[in-house]
Amino acid sequence: MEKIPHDISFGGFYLSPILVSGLFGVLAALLTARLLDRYRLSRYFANPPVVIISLSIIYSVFFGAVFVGI
Amino acid sequence: MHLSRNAKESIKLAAALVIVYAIAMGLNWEKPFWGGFAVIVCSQANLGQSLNRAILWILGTLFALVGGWLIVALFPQDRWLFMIALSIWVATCVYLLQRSRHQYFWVTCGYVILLLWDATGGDLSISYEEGILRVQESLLGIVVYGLIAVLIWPNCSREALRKASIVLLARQRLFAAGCFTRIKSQEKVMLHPDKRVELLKADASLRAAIDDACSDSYEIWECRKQWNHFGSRATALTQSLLKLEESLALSNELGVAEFFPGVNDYIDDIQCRLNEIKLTVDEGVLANMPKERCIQGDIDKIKALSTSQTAALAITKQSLNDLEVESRSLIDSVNDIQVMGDSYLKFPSEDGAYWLGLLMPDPDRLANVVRVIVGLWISYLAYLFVPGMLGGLLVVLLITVIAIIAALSPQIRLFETCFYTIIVCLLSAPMYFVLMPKLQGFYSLGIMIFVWSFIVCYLANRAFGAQSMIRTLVLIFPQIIFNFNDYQVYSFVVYTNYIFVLAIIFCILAVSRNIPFSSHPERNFKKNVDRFLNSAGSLVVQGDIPESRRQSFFYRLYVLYHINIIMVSRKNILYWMEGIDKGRIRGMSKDQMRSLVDLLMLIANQVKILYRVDRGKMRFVATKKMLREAFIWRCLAAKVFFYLSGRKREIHIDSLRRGYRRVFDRINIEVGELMELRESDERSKEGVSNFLYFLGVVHCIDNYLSDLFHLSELVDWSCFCEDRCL
Repeated sequence: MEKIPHDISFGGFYLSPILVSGLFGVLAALLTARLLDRYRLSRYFANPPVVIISLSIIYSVFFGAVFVGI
Repeated sequence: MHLSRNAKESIKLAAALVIVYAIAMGLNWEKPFWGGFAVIVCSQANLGQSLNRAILWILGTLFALVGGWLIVALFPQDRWLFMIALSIWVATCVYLLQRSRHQYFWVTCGYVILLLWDATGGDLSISYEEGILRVQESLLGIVVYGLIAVLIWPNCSREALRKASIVLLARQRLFAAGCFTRIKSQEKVMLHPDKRVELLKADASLRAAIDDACSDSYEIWECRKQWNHFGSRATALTQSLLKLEESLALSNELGVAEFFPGVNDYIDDIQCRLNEIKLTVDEGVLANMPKERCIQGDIDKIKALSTSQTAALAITKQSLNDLEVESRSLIDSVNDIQVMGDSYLKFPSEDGAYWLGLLMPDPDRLANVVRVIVGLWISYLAYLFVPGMLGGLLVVLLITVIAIIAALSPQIRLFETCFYTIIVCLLSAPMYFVLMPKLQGFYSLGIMIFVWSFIVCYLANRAFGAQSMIRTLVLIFPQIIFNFNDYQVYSFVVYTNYIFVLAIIFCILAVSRNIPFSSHPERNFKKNVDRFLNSAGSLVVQGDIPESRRQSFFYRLYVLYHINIIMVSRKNILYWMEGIDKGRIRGMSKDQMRSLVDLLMLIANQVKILYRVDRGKMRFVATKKMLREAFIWRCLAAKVFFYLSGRKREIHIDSLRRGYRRVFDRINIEVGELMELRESDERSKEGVSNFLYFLGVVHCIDNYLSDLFHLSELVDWSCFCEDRCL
């Protein structure tokens, strides 16, 4: 079923879809980064501090496209 | 009711914010936020303690005002030239604020010019009134906070200075008592790195306390020359005590008291002097000026000794006499503080060292400058070329201000900072949407501002420290969102936009702070250790440079650069050590890290002494063969330093030990000749004493370097420096 972009109601407040997907994207990126650090996989990246920004954007777009329909 | 210092500071900050908003809104000024912003930035610099500091902020604001309008006037038609001039201004402020005594002046200079620029619209459609209004609001914030800091629970560092002085004097007395007991009991003296580190730490704390008190106590500022002189004399006494212990390590087994008649009286006299100094600092009683005293050897008894033993006794005698001279100077300096004396005029000023430190290129400071400028330019280019960028110029302004503050503590964890700032912004939403629209007037709004600021400031101070970046941001961002003014509007879009602005700011900062190199604390810790060892190696080997080359300008600059690195190394290393998450450290234990820092501190001290000995090389007298052995030892020591600093060279620590033994073997052979040189004339006597002093330094560097080598071999540096995402 095709997703239609829509505001998300949170206790009566309507949050913009990009805010929600961005929030989840950052949380997922933080979790991934923590795991990469834990298992010493960060060393394989040329610039690990930038990885988290990239992951945030990738996850946000992913969540936006799959769950919110941005 | 007893309030903690944290509670008092939080109340002061909250009260300042309420007053600033009350005045700004009462006068119907637009965007009173800028007044609150100034209060928060000023309170971040330190716990905002006195009028002196407030004056620095005001002067900084006025200076930035003049500079800002000058830049605008010079480049009114060219955006790029204007930006280049602005970047140069900001870069200069950031470079100087990291080492200046007037740090707050430069912080204010850096950020006020940006406020001014932001008011011009960034595209040079100059709004003179708006610029002036912003500066007016900033000044209001600074004056209100300055007055509150002075009038309510003033937190003066004077008491901290008194405590630091007493601690150092107590440590010195203890250290001296240890040396004297060993002289009396004739036991073999072993060097105790722990006690030496404690003494050096107390010495460094006193210098820091003097700097702090000078900037926030009017009384100390008035006699700053006397206090600085006291600091330098206390350091000289510390060095004399360290030197005495080193010399006793070579001679004490012989029974020093036997060969120096009157040494017991000397010991009593010195202990009495140290007690008097303590009394003067503690109770303000003037100390009696002691008579000059000189230790002389019993020639008949000394003649019966071997030549190497004679040399060892000569070093000890010199150290005891130096200690006597330094204790007299210290008494002079403490008396000066009580009566505003001028004995400091007899000594060379330390201003040269200050200006050297301020202006000398320092890689860490330059890197921070690059970070600020990269942040400024990325955000400015984004503002120009990204259509409808969220936040617009506010992003440029905030990024630069945050980067300026971060230059003072570059070891911050950015994502932790971002996380807490977003949490506080989210927590502020109910107040913004639910509470604020229902408030009746400024009284209820004032109470809300006070309670909110107090809670955030108190918790942030407690969790992260009064000078942390997180504290500043969690206070600033809700103020931006609330945007208190006389025509308050409430918009959900504005709120969500600001959350995005926050995210944009952190993304740009995450990129800019890794330019020109990573700001990962572990990597920077190692980088600073390497830089220190490299400079130490370069200085150790410099002692034998021919006189003609020493006169060259570039050579002098080269030496000054390395001296500066040695001077700032401890501070920089401790700085980055603070940023290391001790729970996630790899490749090295916490104890190893502490031992490493202590060893580096001891080595830094010895290298500084060696440099001072080398500076007196004109008067450096010894036989040619001895000088040659000394040169070989220097080369070996430098090689070990370079190896430890990461340069790939084949080295074995035993070769240094062999070099060290060769120096002392050579002395055993030729010490008779050395002693003859000593007797020939006054100039040679000083030269030989210099050489003997050099031997004491060789002894210490050799021991510390060997400990450092073994410690470094145990550490897995590649694992320690591994880069991480978070």
